[in-house]
Amino acid sequence: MSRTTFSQWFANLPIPWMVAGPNGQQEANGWPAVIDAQTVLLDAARKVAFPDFAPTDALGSLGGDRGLIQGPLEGNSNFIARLKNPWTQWSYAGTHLELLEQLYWAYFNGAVIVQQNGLAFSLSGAPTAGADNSGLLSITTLGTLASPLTPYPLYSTSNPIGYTKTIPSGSPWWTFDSKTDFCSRFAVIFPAGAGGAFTTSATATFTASATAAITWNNVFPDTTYIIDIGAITITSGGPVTVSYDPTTKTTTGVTLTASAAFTGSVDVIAYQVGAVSPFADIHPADLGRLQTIIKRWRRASQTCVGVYVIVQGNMWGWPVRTWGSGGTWGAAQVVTINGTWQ
Amino acid sequence: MAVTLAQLIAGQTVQQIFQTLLSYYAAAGFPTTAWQSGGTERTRLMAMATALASFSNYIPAVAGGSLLDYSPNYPGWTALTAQEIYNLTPNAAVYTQGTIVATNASTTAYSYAANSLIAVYSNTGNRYFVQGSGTIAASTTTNIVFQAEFAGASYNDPSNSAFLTLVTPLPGVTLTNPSTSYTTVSHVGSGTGNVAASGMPSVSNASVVITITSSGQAGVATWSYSLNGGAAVAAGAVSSLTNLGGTGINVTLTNGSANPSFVLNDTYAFNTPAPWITQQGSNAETDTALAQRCRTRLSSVANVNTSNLYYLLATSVPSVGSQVTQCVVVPDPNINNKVNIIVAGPAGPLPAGVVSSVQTYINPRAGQGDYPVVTTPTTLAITIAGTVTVYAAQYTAASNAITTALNNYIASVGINGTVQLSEIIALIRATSGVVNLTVSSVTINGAAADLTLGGVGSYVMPAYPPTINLSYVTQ
Repeated sequence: MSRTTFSQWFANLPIPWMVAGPNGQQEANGWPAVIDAQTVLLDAARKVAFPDFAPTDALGSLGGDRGLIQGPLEGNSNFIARLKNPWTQWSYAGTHLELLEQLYWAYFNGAVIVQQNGLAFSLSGAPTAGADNSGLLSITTLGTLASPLTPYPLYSTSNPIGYTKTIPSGSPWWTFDSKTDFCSRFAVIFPAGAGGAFTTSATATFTASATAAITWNNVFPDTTYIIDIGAITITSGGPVTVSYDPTTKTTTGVTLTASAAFTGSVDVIAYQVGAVSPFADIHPADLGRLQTIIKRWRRASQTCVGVYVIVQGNMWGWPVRTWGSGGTWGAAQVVTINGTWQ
Repeated sequence: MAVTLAQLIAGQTVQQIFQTLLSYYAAAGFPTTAWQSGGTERTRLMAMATALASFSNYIPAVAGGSLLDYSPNYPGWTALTAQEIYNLTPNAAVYTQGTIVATNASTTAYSYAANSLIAVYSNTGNRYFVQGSGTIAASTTTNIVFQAEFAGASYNDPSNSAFLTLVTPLPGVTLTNPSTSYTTVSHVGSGTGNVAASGMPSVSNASVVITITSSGQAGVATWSYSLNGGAAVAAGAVSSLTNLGGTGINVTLTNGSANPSFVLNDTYAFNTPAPWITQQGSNAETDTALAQRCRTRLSSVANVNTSNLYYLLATSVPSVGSQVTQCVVVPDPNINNKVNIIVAGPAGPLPAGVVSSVQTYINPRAGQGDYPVVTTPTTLAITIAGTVTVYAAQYTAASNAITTALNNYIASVGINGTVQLSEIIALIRATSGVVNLTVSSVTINGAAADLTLGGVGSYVMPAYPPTINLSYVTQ
């Protein structure tokens, strides 16, 4: 709704001796204009509470007020859509559906939740911000026990409560241990190629140039990380060798240099010193976000046993398959993410 | 250029607005540099800037007042936002209540009406008014409930005070506020057996944790005890034990409904003594605490209870209010669907009645299949030692400041928190008057290392105040 500004009001006052002359007209660009500027600020201040109208540096606080975290690569428009409808998201809080959705937004896509009593949960597609995404929940049955699972010896150190149930063979199950009654437990698995926050990479584009700057998809905590130059794709020029300029290394990127100008691309991967695998290397800020998401969105009475990343091959029990039906076992690598999940 | 939140909450001074006015006039072609200080134009603009500043300084509050991260900076806005957006009422301050014993050595009985008797602690000046009416019987003792004159956490006078008297003396009547010997035994685990503490403690204070080391009935189950966080001492397969570790504390195990009544790894914890206070006074809920409750509000929309919801429930009990200042929610490490909700107040562990009130409030709101259990932590005495060199002329001020800083730090360590050696060292070094600190001499409970309280299934907070055994060297 347009309104008359103070500048306009002053310049049109029916007081000829005050506003008719050039100085009078210019006076409208003085204190009336400053009042107009303050009014703009006041208007902006009132709208800080409204996601569609808030300054971008207020979105984080608006999210905090709603228990929502903007993913590192989540666009503002997507996050605003979620801010405007926290009700749907929170209505599903405590369910695997919503935990999966929140993990997705937080840049932990592709998660599979496995539950001790035989079910696995995942999303069949990308959720829509601010919408009811219950239709995306995929529930599958885990592999079955080949033989009965008996509990630990009664009242032993591992079985202080006295679990007594033997789970029959043929029951879909995820075996964390022999605490057969402790079914309020789950784990989060990221199948091979999960990428996201677990893999830091970039593709450098050279356009008839010998240098190309790249920005990592995940921010490092410091500059001590390791960089591996991968495949070089040349469309013109070359052959070339490519390395990185250590003087340009920052927590967010680096500049690559080629032995000669060329046109093409170079895949690069980076990981922290001591990382078990470049494909399961989670940075501290990302780990903090992962822990917060799991603690906040799981059911209070459930225990997250752990988070695992399948770097390659298979993990016993996932994906569900019949023993002997194929799959890579000899070179399988599963990385356990160390964190606090309760 | 788009307005930013940082810009909106920055605020503007009169001088800044004045300079803005000058810049606008300069841009409009006015000869601002020729305007003299004290002259008509500058004076006029300064008057306008002063008026505009009064108007403009609402902007930060309008912008930040509705954001929980910033609203505590603007008085009144957090409460307004809580009530209008989150339907939450700030928790009011709570009055301290406790039992004072009136010993009447005379043969005259004294009737009293509500508020007619006023007890005062002369060392703190805190006054307490009698609740309800009654009679102080002759030649005997009478337990009377008193309530603090004002609500708040400062009404936290210790038990067995030598400073307690009646404002208007009654001939033959003296007042005492003895502690009861033991707090309620707090049980974590699935066993149905009970552990009771008895005897007259010979120590001024102690925290005791009984751990079941093998399941069984009383007299068959083996157990150990730990005093003040120390190493566990095996008690064997006995149903009772007297004079634990020479403390005068006796422990008795009694079977419950199930067999075995005592289950491996169950713990039973209690402190001695229990204070005379039955209802801990607390200050009105801070804006920061209220903002945190607001952040958990959306969890109440869900059909399934999350940790945020149990936190919201535990901190929003109508009859308890601001007495709960700390709350930790964790799933039980052993029992399916059990949720442990650990609550504490401004003075540490909460009285049994408060814990019971929180449990009663949560029970009908628990999720189906959930087993929420509300407990309060035990406490661990903290002793800080070290050698500090201070300027002789500043010895008193420096030592007092160090004591205050360390007390405040220990008070800030929450349930199962970590008392950090580096933080203690930093606080001492930052105190005015300190010349040097022998870092290698600094210890927490005798060890030059961080002290992490509690553990899996065990919930502990530091006893307050800590014991500060610093050796001062002056120069």
